[in-house]
Amino acid sequence: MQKRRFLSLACAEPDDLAALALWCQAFTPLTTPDPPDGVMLDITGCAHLFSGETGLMARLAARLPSARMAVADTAAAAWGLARYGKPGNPDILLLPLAALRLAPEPIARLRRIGIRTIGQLTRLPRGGLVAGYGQTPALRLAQALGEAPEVVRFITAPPEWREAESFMEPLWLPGQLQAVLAKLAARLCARLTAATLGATSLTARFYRVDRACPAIHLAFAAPCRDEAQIAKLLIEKLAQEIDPGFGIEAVALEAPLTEPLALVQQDMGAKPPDYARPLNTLLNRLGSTRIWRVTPHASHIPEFATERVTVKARPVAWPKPHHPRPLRLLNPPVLVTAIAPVPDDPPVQFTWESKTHRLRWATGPERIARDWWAHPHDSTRPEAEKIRDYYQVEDMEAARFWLFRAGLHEGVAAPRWYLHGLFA
Amino acid sequence: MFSCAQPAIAPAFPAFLHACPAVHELRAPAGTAAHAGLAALLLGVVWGTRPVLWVSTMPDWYPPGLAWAGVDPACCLFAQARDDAEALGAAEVALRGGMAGVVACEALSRLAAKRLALAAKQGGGLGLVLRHAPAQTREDSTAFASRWMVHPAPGSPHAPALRAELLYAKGAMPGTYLFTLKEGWDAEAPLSLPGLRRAG
Repeated sequence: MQKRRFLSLACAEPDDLAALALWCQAFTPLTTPDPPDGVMLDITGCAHLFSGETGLMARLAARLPSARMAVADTAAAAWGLARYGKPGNPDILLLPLAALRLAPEPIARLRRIGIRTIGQLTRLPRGGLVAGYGQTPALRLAQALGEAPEVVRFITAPPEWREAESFMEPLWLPGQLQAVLAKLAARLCARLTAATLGATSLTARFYRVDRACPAIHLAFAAPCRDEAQIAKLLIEKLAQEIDPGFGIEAVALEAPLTEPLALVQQDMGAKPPDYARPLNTLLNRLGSTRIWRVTPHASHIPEFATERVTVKARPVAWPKPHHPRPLRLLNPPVLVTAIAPVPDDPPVQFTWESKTHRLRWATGPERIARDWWAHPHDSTRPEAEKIRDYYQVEDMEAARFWLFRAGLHEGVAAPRWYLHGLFA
Repeated sequence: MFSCAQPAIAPAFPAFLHACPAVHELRAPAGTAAHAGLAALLLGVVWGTRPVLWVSTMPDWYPPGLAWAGVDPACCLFAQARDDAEALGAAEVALRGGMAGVVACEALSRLAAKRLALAAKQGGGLGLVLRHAPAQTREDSTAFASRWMVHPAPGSPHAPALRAELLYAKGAMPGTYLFTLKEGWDAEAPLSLPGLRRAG
C-alpha cells in the first residue's frame, strides 16, 4: 500500500470552507473542511498528476496566494506544519506544542516543566505523560508521529462515473466551454455504454480560478446515455447558470446516479417512439416542480382526489369516475352569491365576477362530507357545517358550472355558495 | 385503461381533424371551458393513449374531468409555465418530440403560431392551442390547420354538447359543428335528483 500523504491548507482570511473543499476536489477526491481556518486534502496517489507535490503546492499557492500549506505523512503533522512550520522544513520535532492541537491548559503545564517543542515531548516517558497530563497530549503526539490512527471524515467523493478535463489556460468563452462539455459527454457516454448503464442525473462542475465551483445539475426522466442530448441540455443551461468569472481551469462531468440501460440494436425496422427525449428537455428547462404526472388519490374531496407525482413515476391506471367531474377545477373555490330556494334546493341564479348567470337546470346534490376522522373535533363548528352539496348547473347560454353549497340551512352560519369548476 | 374512442362520434367527426401532424387553435368565450372540452374530445378520438403535455401558466385542468371527457389521465403530463412564451416553448418541445401538446395562452403571435406548426410537422404530433379570444383578432394566422370558436351548447346532464364554429381550415369549408361529449363507458346515471328542475 502506498504511503499516505496529507496536505493541510490554512487560509489567512476567513473563507467558505465547504465551498473551498469542493473546489479542492479538482486536485484529489478526498477533501474536507478543517475548521476554523483550513482544508485537509488526502493527496495520496494524486501528486504525480500535477508534477509532484511541489507542483501541486505551487498550483494551489497560485490560486490561494495568502494560504499556508504543508504536506506530511499524517494529517496531524500536516496540520501542525502548515500553521507553525517553516516552509521547506518537514521536521515536526522542532514545532511548538501548539502544533499538536492541544488546549492552552496542558501546554502551559508542560511549559512549566520546560517542555516547549514536540521533540522535547517525545523524550518524556509516555506512561508518565498519560498519568500526569491526561490522555490527550500522548494521543495527539502519537497521531502526529503516525503511531495511533486518526479518523478524518472527508466530504462525499466524486462518483466513479466522472470525466474531467483541465486546461493550461483558463477558459471563459462560451464556445470553448461548449466544446469541452460536448467532449466530456462523449467520453462519459462511451464509458457508460461499455458498462450498459444510463445516467439518471448528471452534474457538470466548473472549477474557477478564483476558487468558486459553480455546477449545472441535470435530471432525466429515464436513464440516458445519449451524448448529443446530454451536450445539448448542458449547453442550454450553460449560459443561464454559469458565470465564468476570471476563467475556468477545469471542468468535470459526473453521473452521481446511474441505472442499468440495455443496449439496443440500431436501424432494425420501426422503433417505438422515444418520449424520454422531450421529457428530459422539459424536465431540465422547467425544473422538477413545474412538470408533473397525476395519480388518483383516495379522497372524495375533489381537490384532494388527485396527487402530483414526478415525471419519472410509472403511469397508474385511473379508475372510472362515478360522477361527472368538471374539466377545469378552480382551486381554491370561488365564493359566489347565489339565489336558491330554502332549505336545500339547487340555485336559480348566481353571480360570478359581476356577471349574473340565470340557470336553466341543475342536477344534484352530490353530498361530499369532510373526512372528519382526520380533523380534531371542534364543538363550535359541527361537521354539518363542513358538508358540501354539489350541483351541476347550466345557464341560459349553456355554460356548465359546478357549484356547491357549504353548510346547511338553519346551521350555525348561513349557507355559502362556491363555484368549484367548469364543465364546458 | 379506457376505451379510447367514442364510436358514436367518430364518424361524425370532420375528416380533416383526423390528419395528424397538425395544430388546431380552439377559442372560447371567457369564463367557459368549452375549448378544453373539444380538446379532450379530439385527443380521445385522434390521439388515443400516446402521451400528451398540458401546459399553461395556470394549469387548472382537472384529471378526473378529463377522464370523463375521454382522455386517459395516465398519459397526461401537466406543466406550469411562468409566462405564455415559456408555455409555447414547452409545447414546441413536446410537439417536436412526437407528443401531443395542449397549450393555453392568451397572446399568440404569428411567429409563435408558425413555430408550433413547424414543430408539429417535424415531430408528427397533434397540437392544440386553447385561447379565450374573440372570433377575429389582428394576429390571426394561417399556420394552423384549423381555427375554431367553441361555445357550450344545451345538452343533457350526462352528455355536455359543444357548438363549434369552424373559422378557418385548410381544405375545408367553414361551418358549424355540434359535438357531444359522452362518457367513454357506460356509467350509471350519476345523480339522483328526481327529474331536472326548470328554473326560469
